[in-house]
This record gives sequence, C-alpha cells and structure tokens, in this order.
Amino acid sequence: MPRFWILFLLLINLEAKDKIDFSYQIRPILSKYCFACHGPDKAKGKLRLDIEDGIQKSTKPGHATESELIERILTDDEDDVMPPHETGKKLKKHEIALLKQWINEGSSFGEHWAFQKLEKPQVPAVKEGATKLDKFIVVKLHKQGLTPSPETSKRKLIRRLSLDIRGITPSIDEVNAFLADNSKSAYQNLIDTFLASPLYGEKWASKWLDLARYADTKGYEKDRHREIWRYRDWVIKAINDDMPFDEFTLKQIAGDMLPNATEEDVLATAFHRNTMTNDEGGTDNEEFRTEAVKDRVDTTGTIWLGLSLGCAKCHTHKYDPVTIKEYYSLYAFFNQSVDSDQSDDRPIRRMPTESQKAQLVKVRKELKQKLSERNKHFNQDRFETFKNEQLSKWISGNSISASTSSKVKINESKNIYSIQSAVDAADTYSIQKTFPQGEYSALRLKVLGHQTNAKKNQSLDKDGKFILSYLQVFVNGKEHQLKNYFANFSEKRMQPKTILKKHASKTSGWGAEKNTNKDHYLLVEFENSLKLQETDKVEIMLVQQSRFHKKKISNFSIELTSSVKDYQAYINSTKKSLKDLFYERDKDLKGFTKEIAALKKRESNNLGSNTPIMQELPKEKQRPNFIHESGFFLNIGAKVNPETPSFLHAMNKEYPKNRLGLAKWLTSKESPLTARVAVNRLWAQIFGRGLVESEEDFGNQGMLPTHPDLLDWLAVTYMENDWSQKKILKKIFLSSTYKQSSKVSSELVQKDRFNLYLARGPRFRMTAEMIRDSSLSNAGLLSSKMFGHSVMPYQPPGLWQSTYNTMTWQTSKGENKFRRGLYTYHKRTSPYPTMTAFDAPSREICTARRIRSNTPLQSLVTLNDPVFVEAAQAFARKILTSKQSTEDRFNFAYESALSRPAEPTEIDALKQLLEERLKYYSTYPIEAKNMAEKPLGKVPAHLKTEEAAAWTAVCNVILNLDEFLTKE
Amino acid sequence: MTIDNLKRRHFIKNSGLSLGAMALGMMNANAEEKAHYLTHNPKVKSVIYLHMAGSPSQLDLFDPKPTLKRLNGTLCPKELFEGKRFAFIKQRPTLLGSPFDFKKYGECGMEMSSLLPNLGSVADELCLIRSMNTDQFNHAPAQLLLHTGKPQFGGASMGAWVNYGLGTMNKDLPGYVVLTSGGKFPSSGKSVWGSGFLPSKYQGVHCRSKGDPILYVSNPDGLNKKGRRNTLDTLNTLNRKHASRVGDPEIDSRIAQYELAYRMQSAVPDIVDLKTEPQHILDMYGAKPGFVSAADSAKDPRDVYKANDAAFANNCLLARKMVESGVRFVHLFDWGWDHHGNSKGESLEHSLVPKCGQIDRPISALIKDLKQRGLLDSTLIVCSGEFGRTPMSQRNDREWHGRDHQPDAFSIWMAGAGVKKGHVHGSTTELGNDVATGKVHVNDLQATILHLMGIEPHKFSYSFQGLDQRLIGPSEHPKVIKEILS
Repeated sequence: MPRFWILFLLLINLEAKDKIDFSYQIRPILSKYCFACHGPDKAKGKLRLDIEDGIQKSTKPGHATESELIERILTDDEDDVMPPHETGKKLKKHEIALLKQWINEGSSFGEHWAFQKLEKPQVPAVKEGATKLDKFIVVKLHKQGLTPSPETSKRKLIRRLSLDIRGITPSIDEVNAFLADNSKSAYQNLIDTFLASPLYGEKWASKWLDLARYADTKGYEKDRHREIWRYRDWVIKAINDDMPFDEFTLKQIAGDMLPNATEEDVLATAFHRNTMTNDEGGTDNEEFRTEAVKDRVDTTGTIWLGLSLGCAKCHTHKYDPVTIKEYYSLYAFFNQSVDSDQSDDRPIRRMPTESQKAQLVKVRKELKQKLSERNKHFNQDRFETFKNEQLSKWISGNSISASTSSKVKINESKNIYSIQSAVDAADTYSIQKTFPQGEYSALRLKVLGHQTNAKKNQSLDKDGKFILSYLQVFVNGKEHQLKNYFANFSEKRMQPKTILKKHASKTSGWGAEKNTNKDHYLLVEFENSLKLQETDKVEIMLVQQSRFHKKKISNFSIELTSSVKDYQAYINSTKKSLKDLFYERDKDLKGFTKEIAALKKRESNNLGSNTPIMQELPKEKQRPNFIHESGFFLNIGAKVNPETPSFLHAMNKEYPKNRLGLAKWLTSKESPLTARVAVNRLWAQIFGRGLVESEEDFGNQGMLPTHPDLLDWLAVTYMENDWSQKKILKKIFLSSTYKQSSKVSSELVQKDRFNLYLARGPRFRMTAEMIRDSSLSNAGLLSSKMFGHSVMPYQPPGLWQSTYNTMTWQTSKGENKFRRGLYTYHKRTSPYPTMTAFDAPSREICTARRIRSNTPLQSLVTLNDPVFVEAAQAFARKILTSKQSTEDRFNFAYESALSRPAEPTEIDALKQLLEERLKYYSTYPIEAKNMAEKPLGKVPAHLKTEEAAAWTAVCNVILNLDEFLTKE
Repeated sequence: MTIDNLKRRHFIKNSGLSLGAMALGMMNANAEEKAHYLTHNPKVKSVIYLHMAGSPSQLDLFDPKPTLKRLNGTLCPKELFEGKRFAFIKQRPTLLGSPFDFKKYGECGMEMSSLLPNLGSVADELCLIRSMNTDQFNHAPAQLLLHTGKPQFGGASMGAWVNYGLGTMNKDLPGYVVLTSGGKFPSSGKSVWGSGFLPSKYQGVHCRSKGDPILYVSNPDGLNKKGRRNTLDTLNTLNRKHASRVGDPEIDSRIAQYELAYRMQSAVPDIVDLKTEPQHILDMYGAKPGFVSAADSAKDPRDVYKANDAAFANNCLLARKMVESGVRFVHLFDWGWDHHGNSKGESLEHSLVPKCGQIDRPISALIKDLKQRGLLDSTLIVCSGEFGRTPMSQRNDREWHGRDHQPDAFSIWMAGAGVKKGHVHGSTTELGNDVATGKVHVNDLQATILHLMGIEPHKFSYSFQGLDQRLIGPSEHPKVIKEILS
C-alpha cells in the first residue's frame, strides 16, 4: 500500500498549522474513502464529493462539528456511519483531524492537482543549489532538516551516467580518460558524448517498448509470430535522433494521416498495432477488434494522460471525472482503423530498410539488364508453336436448355450461365448442350470469380461459398462415367476428390477457396472418350446438396476438349504463366532462368518485412460509434462522436476529429497532464521513482507528487526546449542532485528511508536489460549490431508450449546470441525467463512501471543461467589475457565491472577463492574443462584450462556483486 | 525497491523476523498491523487447484441428463440456439446425449460418469457444484477470468493473490508453484499464473518435469555444491563489505536472496524427487519417477494421449509433497480437454476416455493420501475447467462426437478443508444448457476460496491504476457460497 504511506508522510510533513491545501491534503482523503459511492459514477444520495456543490452541501464552512461530513464519520449509529462498515474502510485519526481543520478554515475547494493548468513556477530564491532544479530540491530538504550529500566520486559518476544514458558500464579506457580530464567541461562533455552514442537509443527504447506493449507474437491462445520489429527499430532511431516528443507522439498515433506521409511515418503507427490479435478458433473477430480499440484508448490514456481510462469502459469512472460516454467518445477516434483481428494482421505494409533499399536499386538494375538481354533472344514464332502444343482447345458448343430444380431461373448468354439471385435451398442444375462432331476426352466447369465477373459472383462471396456435391454427364440420356478430376482452387477441406456421385455425401464436395476471387476450374476426364455427333444431346447435372453452405454456383460455363494436354500446365497457370514455362523450356531462353530467378529472389528478399500498420477506413465505410454498455461490445448504447473528455483542455476547433487531431490535442501546450506525465517518466528512470511514484496514474487515486513545483518546472521546461528528451535529461544530469553520493547515512535511514527528498543520489538494482548488457559487455561478448529481426539467446528447451502453435526456440548463431537485451525475441505467453525474473512485463498490455522486486530466482539467473556463466568464462579469459600478475588481474576485473580498483581486503577475499578453486580444478581436470568451456567453447591455447576455470568462478562472483548489479 | 518493500523490511527488522523469512515474499501485505482483510481461524492453509484446460464436458462427467440422452440426435429446441452466441456452432444443431453411463457413487449417492470410477470411490469426500457459470466462452479470456478475476490480461493470479495476502509457510520454497501436463500450456499462457500488477515475486514458479525443475536451480557443470558454497561465501563477504561502506539495507536483502537461492538449490531437487516415495504410494497415484510424456514432444499431443500417461499423476504426487512442505498454492494445469469432435483427438469417444484415465486414479489418490496424512483438514482441492460444454453436438458429419463451449452452466468440484462432504450444490435445466438453481459465478468461487483461506474477499485489494483491484473483480455482486461451507 505505498500510496497511503506516501500520503501519510506528506501529511505529517506539512505542518499541521499551515493552512490546509484542499488539492493535496483533503481531496486524496475524500477520494480514498468517499468517491467510490459519492463520486462521478454513483453519486449516492445525489451527493458528489468530487465537485464543489457536494462540498458545500455536506460542510458548514468554519464549523467542522456541525458539518454532516464530520458527523457521519464520527457517529456511532451503524446505519448512518460513513464509510459504511461493509466497505471495510475507516478513516484514521489524523485524517479526521485534517478534515476538521479544513472545514474550520472555510472548506475551500480546488481542482485535482494534476488537472490544474500547467504553469511554470518561480524558482525558489535560495542561495544553495547549483542549478535551478537543485533549488527546488534544497527548499524541501531544508523543511525536513536535511542537507544534500556531497558529490560522488568521478569513478562512480561516470559509471552512473553511463548506465543511465547507455545502459552499460563504462569501459576502463573511458573511466581513465574521464579521470584524466581536469577541464571544467569534462563532465558536460561526457554527457554529450554518451547522449550522442547509438547505445542511448537502445537503452531508452526499452521503457517505451514496455509502454507500447511491443512483442514478437500476437498474444492469446495461439500466440503466433508477428513481424513488427521494424517498429522497435523506428523507436530506437527516433530516440537517437532526439525526435521531439510531440512529433514522436504524432507519428505513432497518426503518422499515416500526415500530409505526404513517408514510409517511416507509416511505420511509426505500428505503435497501436501492438495490440493483441486473437487467433483462437471460435472467436468473434468483432469482439477482439473492439478489445484492441479499447486497448488503444487505455494505452493512450496511460502513456499521455497518466489516467486509467479503462475503468470507464464499463461504467463511469469511480474516482476521476471520466464518464462512460466520454470513454466511448475517445474510443470513436480509434474506431475507424481498417484492422479487424485478422490472423494475417492486415493491414500490413512491406517496407525495406535503408540497406535493403540500396540493395533493391542494385538488384533491380541487374535484373532489368538480364531481362532485356533475354528478350533479345525471344522468338515469337516459337512461342506460338509452344502455346499450341501446351493448350487444349476448349469448345463451348451450343446451349439447348438450362434448368434448376428450384424456382430460380438460369439465363444463358454467350455460353455463360448465370443465376438470377442467390438460392438458399439444395439445388440441381441441368444443362443441355450440343457440340460439333468429334471425340472429346474431358469436360471443364468454369466458375467465374469476381475478376472476370463484373456483377460480383455471389457464389464466391465471403460468407456463402458454393459447394458442388457431385456432377454427372449424360449423352442422349445415357450416363457416362468420369475419372480423373482436378481443380485449380479448392477450400482446404473441400477438395474435388468426392466429385463423383459414388463418393458423394451431404458434407462432401468441391468448395470454393477462401479469400480468392479468381476463376475456379474443375476438370474431369471421361472414362471413355465421348464420340459425339452434332445432334447428340449432352446433359450435365450439377448437384448442390451440401449442408454447409447455402450459396449456389451462380456464374459458370461448361466446355469440352478433345485433348487434355494442358491438364497440368493450364491449371498451374495460376502460379506460372505459359510465358514463364516457355522461358524455362525454350532452347535460347532457358539459360537465363537460373540467374533471373536468383535475382528475383534477391529482390523479394530485400522488399522488407511486413509490418502491421494503422490505416483509416474510407469515409463511406466508417463505423458508427456507440457506447458499449457494461463494456460489452454487443450491448449497444447511445450514439457518440469523437470528443475529448470535458474536464481536460478543449480541443482546438481547427483540429480534425480523428487520430491526427487527437494526437495534436494530446501534445498541445494546454494539456495539464502530458508534459507532467512524460517528464515524470524520465525522472523515474534515473532516480528509481517518479516525482509521482504512480507513473501510470495521475488521477485522484494516484500518488501525490513529492515535489509538485519541480515537476511543473520540469514539465514546462521540457516543452520550452521543444520537447527534446536529450536536453531535459542533460539538465537533470547536470544537477548536483543527480551527482550526489548515494551513500545511505544512518541519519538518512531515520529521516528519509525511501529517499523521497533526495538528500542522496539514486541507488537501485538495474533493469533486466542493463544486467544482461553489462555482463556481456564486461565479458567482451556484447554485439554492437543494431536493429533487425529479434534474436534468441540461450533458453532452456521446453518453455514454449502454446496451444496450436508449433513454433520453437532456435538459439541464434554467432553474434546474434550476444545482442543487447532489447533485441531478445519476446513471446507474450512465455516471455524470456531472465527478463521475467527481473520484473520485465509480458507486454500483453501497456506497462508504465516495472515494480522492482528482489527474489532468489534472480540470484539463480545471474549465478547459473548459461548466458551469465558464458559471460563469466569470457570475462575470465579476457582478464587472463590482459594482465599477468594476480593483483593486476583483480584490479582489471574490478575496474572493468565496477569502474574502480579493488581494495586490498577485497583482493584477499577473492584470492582465497581463486587459490581454493585452482587447487580443485588442478585435481579435477574434467570439472575444470566443464567450468571453463561449457558453453563458451575451447579455452585458447595460450591459457591453462584450470586457470580459466578458477577465474570463471571468480568472475561469476564479481558479476553477482550487489555493487555490479546496482546503479549507485 | 518500492516503498512497499521498505516498509515491510522496516517492520521485519523491528519485529525480529529474519531477513530470510522476508526474502521470498513471505511477508504478507500488511504485516505491521493486523491486515483489515484477514478473518479469524482460516480453515484452509493450502490450495491445490486442478485446472483441466480446454474444459471437460460436465454433461459426460458430472451432470447426468437422461432427457438429453432420450432426445439424442434430434434438433435442439429453438431457445437453446436462437439469440445465443457460440464459438463454433453456426446452424441449429442436434442434441447429444452422453455416450457414457452415469453411476451413483458412495454413501451420498453422488451421480457421476462411469469414466471416473476412482473419483467415485471418494465421492463422500467431494463437494460437487453443478451450477457454475462464467461470462466468457473463448479459452484464454475464460481462463483469465477464472484465475485472475478478469478476462483481460494484466491481472494477478489467485495463487499470487493469496501469497501476497498471506505469505508462504516454507522459507526454502516458493509459495506458489505451478505444474503442467498434457503437452501444452493453457491457452492464456503464463499470465494465468502471473503476478500481473502485484510485485513479480508473487508470480507462480513453474516447476518442470524435464531439465531444471525450477529454472537455473542447477549449478553450472564444473561447479559442485561445495564450489558453489565457496563462491557464495566470497560473494557474501564482498557484499557485506560493500554494505558497510554504502549503508544501504537493500544489500542485506540481496545477501539473503542469495542464501535463499542456495537453500532452494537443495530443497527443490529434493522435493521433486519422486524416487524417495515408497512403491505403494507411487502405485496408489500411478506415478512414475522420471516419466517423460510423449505428449511433451508431439506436434499435436492429443494424437498420443494414453490413459497410462503418468505426467498428471506425478504432478498430483508432487502437489501433495509441496503442500506437505508448506507451499501455499499449487496450481496444476492439464491440457487437452477441449472436446469439440472436430478430430479424433478432440472427440469424446477417443480423447475424453484416455484423459479421464490419466486423472481418475491420481486425483482419488491425492484425496486419500492427504486424508491419511491429516492434511485434508487444512488443504482445499478445487477441480474445474474454464467453462462448460453444450448439450448440442458441434457437428454431425463425423463418426465421433464433441460439444461446443458453454459459459452458462458447468460443473466443478471441491474437496477438503472447509467444504461439505458428499454434497451436491445447485442444478441445471433439464437439458443442461443453463443453471436452474443455486447459481455460482466464477467470481463467487474466488470469493469462497479466499474466505476459506481467512481472507475477506471484498476487502482484499491492491491499489493499481487508481483502483482497488480485487481478485473477485470490481462488482459488489460476488458472494461466498455459504451453502457449501462445512
């Protein structure tokens, strides 16, 4: 219950004699105990204590004891007492005292602090404090009777700064260079150098990716792969380029709607395509489409407004003034995107990366050359001959009659039969034709697809596809048996193998393929060829009796041929054209085939990967918007329009009422929340806790800011600096507050255990990514490769057991095994265990804050996970190779891992372990080999195995030191 | 470190509890004051939750429907189909009577399927609820609703909740252990045993049957127990030295974590070692030490299910050992109960039968074994799917049969501490498509479990995103099922 604790601290710290501040001291009490029933949602007894009217009704200014608010809290009457017994809530004594004092002082009312207009506060006029930022801190410290800590050592400072900006420990050379630089600007230059490093974007992207719920799979039951890593790279690049936060916002929410949107702008919108897609069988796509839209509203609320809007999707928010209508009015902004929980994640966009673009130019040039070269050898006459050899001649004959067993009529025009309207019942078509005299060996039924059928063939509709149960052929009333059959398209479970009457049933037949509008052909051969005279009547019966589909074949033709030589070639033409076949077979052309195919393959390899993106529905297809009562998508309530919540700043009338307008509204200077929430998030990364600890909630139930003025000053400064993250971070890093030693004195343990007032520097355990990256970088293993497909470092087998998903973990090869943590493949239903152990979220939903925990499972990871054992092995080899004396080696290890030399007592302790281990591994060579080589591989010839093994044990200790795992 | 942690640590120091005790998340949420949600004399100390992922058919196992049998093959009444949402059924289907016989078991005469004779032999211990219902009819959301209290991701599992609220009772083992079988994880993935918004130390620890039982519990090759001890001694020395320099109490906590990890390194392999059990106990469960199920490596595990697959039996025996050692919540997930009838492996005839074979003996053995050790007086066993199955056949074009998902009515059973024995609660309509009497929502079930563990479900909350999040959800409706309490 941290919220109450902070509240409590603040309350005692505000001296009781100071005049009560409603927003900071009273509103939180009312919110905690009263708003659930007397708030925006319920207003029991028509009383709302979150608005001024309710305060006036329930208090008598200046007379606490005569106020109903107090009376009802203090009464012994079980029926009257507030909060009611069954809530289990009871006000604390000091809370009641505060309420009384507030009423006695006139029961003033005020807006919730975070909804108040954001203004730049005066910098406190105090002498102390090196920078403006520090002055805000110093004033508070004085009130607490605390003094700032001295500046930390240069060694600790560079280590802290390196971890904060780049997410890895500094190298020995970097530390030494910084120590040697005595210029005034040394520290400032260091900040600039680190901020300019590409490692910065990788470090800071992790946090954003938690918020964006970025993952490599789609979530839910099947949790299949999703290709969306290009978005992750976009984030890294944007952060490295210091893209202003308002632009960063605009592009992710509405990059596709920008005038002249570039590919990168569209790519940015993958941000809101990180919602989950439910591929589970039997799910209603509309249900999970609306779930995804709701997730977009909730995520947007958390990231930009610091509000838990999600509460209002079932009922009006209990604590914050968001009504259910306002929730669905926000929902309306997001409800016009094309995506609809499809398993292929469409709409998707294929986009080449920069290097792929360069490749494409090259490949296409070569391809063009090759193709024109080949064309020079093309011989039209030979092609004509080839065509004649390959194709059967299909003969339509003349139609005599066409009828159906139902009342529906078949019309015939130019040998194409069409049905007037869709038929719902079982039906049998009977077609009578005559053909020119000759011998015929096969029949072709051609069902026209959308492409050739201007009227849109009903039989290939989305939900009603034809199923031909079986077909029969009669000549002058005598049935002719059929044999081989073949179709170019069929539904997976409706292959034409049952197309002969003897195999037919109510559930079998040849069915149209899903999502294909192309012409469907069914070819059947006659068991004995038909020898026809011109007068012979040929009757073809098409029987459609399946229980599954109601739509019948509605546009088709029937033809015969004397030779089925094009049996394969023609049918296959859906994949390969006749011309392609000619290219492959012609004597002058076939020489090019291999080369051209290779070039084409290279071309397609460089087209880039498919990334799901946001795309707006065309105007005429836009969806109407309604409230979903109780949050259920089928429970349609009143109609709503895209509107922003009324308690927040108004939306500029010139902004369009769509995602683009919304994005602009979010980052408008009038927003009381956006800058506060954003800058607080940056602060939390550095100090381990935000100025508002509940980074995800700035509403009435959220925690109060420890330094409200500083928060506002930072927020306004952030905007004044064009939303530059680098600039605002630099201001923080330059402050003496940041540079303080993080030593925890016994006085501080007493007075400010939690470092709320920042009388010392930050000290806390690093994130999952930082621990991995720093361990690998000390080992010299960390790959500097940026971007690309997610990678798979070691993971024990058997962890992936998603239902209906056979994807497996394939450990990456080469340097991909040693990439930074943020490139690790993230499967939502089974995230990488090391990440989870160190509090990384599953990324199924937006996570604003990883709650740091401290567990034995973490110790097991850094002690025994092969990734960390391998790091210890490589670190050991590096040490042994770099330095010769034991002393030097320990110092090297310490300077590398901790940015400082080892103390003599530390060397003694490590030496003892080293000697014990050396003795052991000299006696047990197999153990030594295992310890030194599994999994890193053979110890190089210039090192002794037992020494490498013993040092691996030592390095395993060093990489588990609290000082190593902690940023201090 | 959160203030939450610090606050507790402060309390622990002042109250003389060891750091080790706290290290595994053992301290409960409100240690410094009698937490307002705790009630007197809890009946249940540990819970073993057996989840049959996919949802077995109550109509073939627990809820006999003679009328349904009589009307087998006839078109279902309109009201069972029209205006209803189904996962797969699209056209008015036919009714499907159970192809299996029901029998009366025990002195109480509880009617259950002949597929579960061993479970029948302990019918007098069971408290069967035939009137369950839920809001969700797709697997992942329904499993989340059942175990985390809400159908969306992000919530905390029941096991995480009770450990947050009560803490574990064994300092060398996690308080919330998860065991899986059937070749696949439940549809909702690890989130169903995750800690959600609660601190991650409360998440379920998956204990595996192959490889390290708990991830990375084994030392690297080349470092034996003594070697590990030596490295940890050095690590502790150096960490303590640093603590004296820096003064941060967090370092003491880290030292405690490493020590606890070391103790887990011996405690965990011991507890998962079934070889230490006498033969007659192994036989009783049908457990086989070291058994590796073919289902774990099969492309579709349902194709290889055999009644004598010992994976679930082993997990039942492990559950007993865990509870015996003071693990607070043991969660078993057995996959493969989604019998739609689309394929042989998904059918009542070919798959429900071996699946019942896999669980029947182990579950009855678990009940008997806990009883003979006196543990059934403090342990609650719950067995359920995430929803029920329809009285209608999903399709009729196959030689085998199955049923679609049904959220409106299903059966679960409980046994052990705090609940009535040989008792049947609630009933369903004649065809079993809806609850007739004694309706119990999954949130009511959660409320009941918390209540039995000594937690007032309505008061038990955790503040996150501006809301007092609760296992039983935000509504005031959930209630403890008083009628089943003993």
